[in-house]
Amino acid sequence: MCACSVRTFRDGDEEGIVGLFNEVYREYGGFVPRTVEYWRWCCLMRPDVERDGVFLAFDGGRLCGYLVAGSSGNVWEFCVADGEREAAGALLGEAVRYLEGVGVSSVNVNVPNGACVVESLREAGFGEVPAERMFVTTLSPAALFQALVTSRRGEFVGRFDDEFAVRLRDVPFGVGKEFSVKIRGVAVEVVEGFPSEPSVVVELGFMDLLSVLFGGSGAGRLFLAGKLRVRPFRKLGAVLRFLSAARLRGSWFFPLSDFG
Amino acid sequence: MLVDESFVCRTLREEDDEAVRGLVESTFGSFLRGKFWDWKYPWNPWFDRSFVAVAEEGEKIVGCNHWLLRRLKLSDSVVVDGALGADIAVSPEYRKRGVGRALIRFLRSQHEDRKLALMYMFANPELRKRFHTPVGGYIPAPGGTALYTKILNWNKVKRNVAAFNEKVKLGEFGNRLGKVDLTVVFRVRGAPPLCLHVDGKGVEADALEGRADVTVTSDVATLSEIKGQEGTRWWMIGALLTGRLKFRGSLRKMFALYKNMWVFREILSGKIT
Repeated sequence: MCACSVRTFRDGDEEGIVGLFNEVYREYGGFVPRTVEYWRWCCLMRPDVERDGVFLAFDGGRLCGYLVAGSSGNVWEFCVADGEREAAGALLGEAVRYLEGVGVSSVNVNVPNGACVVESLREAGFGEVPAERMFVTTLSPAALFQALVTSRRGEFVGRFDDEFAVRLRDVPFGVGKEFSVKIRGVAVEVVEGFPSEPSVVVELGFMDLLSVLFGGSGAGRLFLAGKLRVRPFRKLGAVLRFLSAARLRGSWFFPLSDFG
Repeated sequence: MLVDESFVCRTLREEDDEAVRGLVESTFGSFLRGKFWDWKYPWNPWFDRSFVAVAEEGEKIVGCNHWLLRRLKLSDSVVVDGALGADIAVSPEYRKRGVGRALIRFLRSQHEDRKLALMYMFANPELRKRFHTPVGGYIPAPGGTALYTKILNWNKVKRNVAAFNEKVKLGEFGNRLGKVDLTVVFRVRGAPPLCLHVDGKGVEADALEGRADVTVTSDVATLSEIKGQEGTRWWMIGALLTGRLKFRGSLRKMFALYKNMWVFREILSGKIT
């Protein structure tokens, strides 16, 4: 017997749902941080979602999981607090019963790789199939660097004392070719364009830069492949450390509700 | 406004809604039928018409490209302003004329000043390589998301069977089904059994399981991989050797299954989940 109780959605549940989602997926990138307004639109207002298809699991009075099932067969969101396997199983059971009732052919659920709910999915007869892939680019490498550097100042301030001028090759239409990152003392400044007296000039391809930032390849490997040029050469170590500090770490997870 | 030789790109106006909705529905099929376009765009609290471009020839909308503004988390501590490159659709008769590329360039030039740190989209890898990467410089996002499926019934396969039988009636396969008389039961883990009987008249989807000549045992992941493989033969040998795919039946009937694999490929290559 499951110790948790499951019921369908009621007005006023939104705050708890949004809080649980942001807490459970706090270490991941790749999704829209939930607000009540966004959740209402992306789940509750979705044309294939009825309130009877939104299930919440409680452990005592505490919300420990929820699931949003649409009559298209997609589970738009499935979120369970760490270690709540019973709740995961109970929510999946309710969702499958509900979707069988509305006559769908199959049920699709997106979850982070290796999440605790994967075991519950396997037990419920789900099998992994190839997932849609997410692809990223930027319209402003300077704005992207600004976000990366200002959110993680600690990784840059005190470690560098340089003005890195970055010149990109093969940029797509509408994207700036040059920007600089100036790190002096505790000040960090990202500016579009090429500075008059940079201490380091870094040249690489647009997609190579993205690949380094999003974890696809390392800056050292790019250098060895002749795709990264640094002037003066003695600053190579600083550039490799700089790009490594800017690199995003951690997994990405996109729930189906963000997909479309 | 961006003017090409034959079409003009401009932002979406209210009077375009019906034409754009129709174009998106005809391109993406059932998923966007009904209220999905309205929900995704006009009903979206963050919808901004200036982020939807249309290509127009004369009075006719021949293409559209939608962006949705979003805040996106890049890591535990980094959140940026970005846009989801959503539905891009071009009328079939206007494809391969640069309409999609022009629409993307138009939106990029319109919003150059906004300095969006991130653009992201979902597409099949082939389309990404052929179109989105050359135009927009897209790379794969960090991995970490897995998709799980459970098959509840085989209604979609039955629809594929009905479509196949229509083709048989129209004589599309000539005499290829000639002397076939074969019943195959598919046992996919977590799903009800699927029993297909093939003979000269076509395929019967609700054949009696007890009459099965060959039993194919697998799981949904293996079935999905078989569907997605071009060089299925070698992949199937690998799946057989690793025990992910099992066949049971007489050698004669298994050979008949091998010879008529095209029938099952025809039926299962369509949408089954």
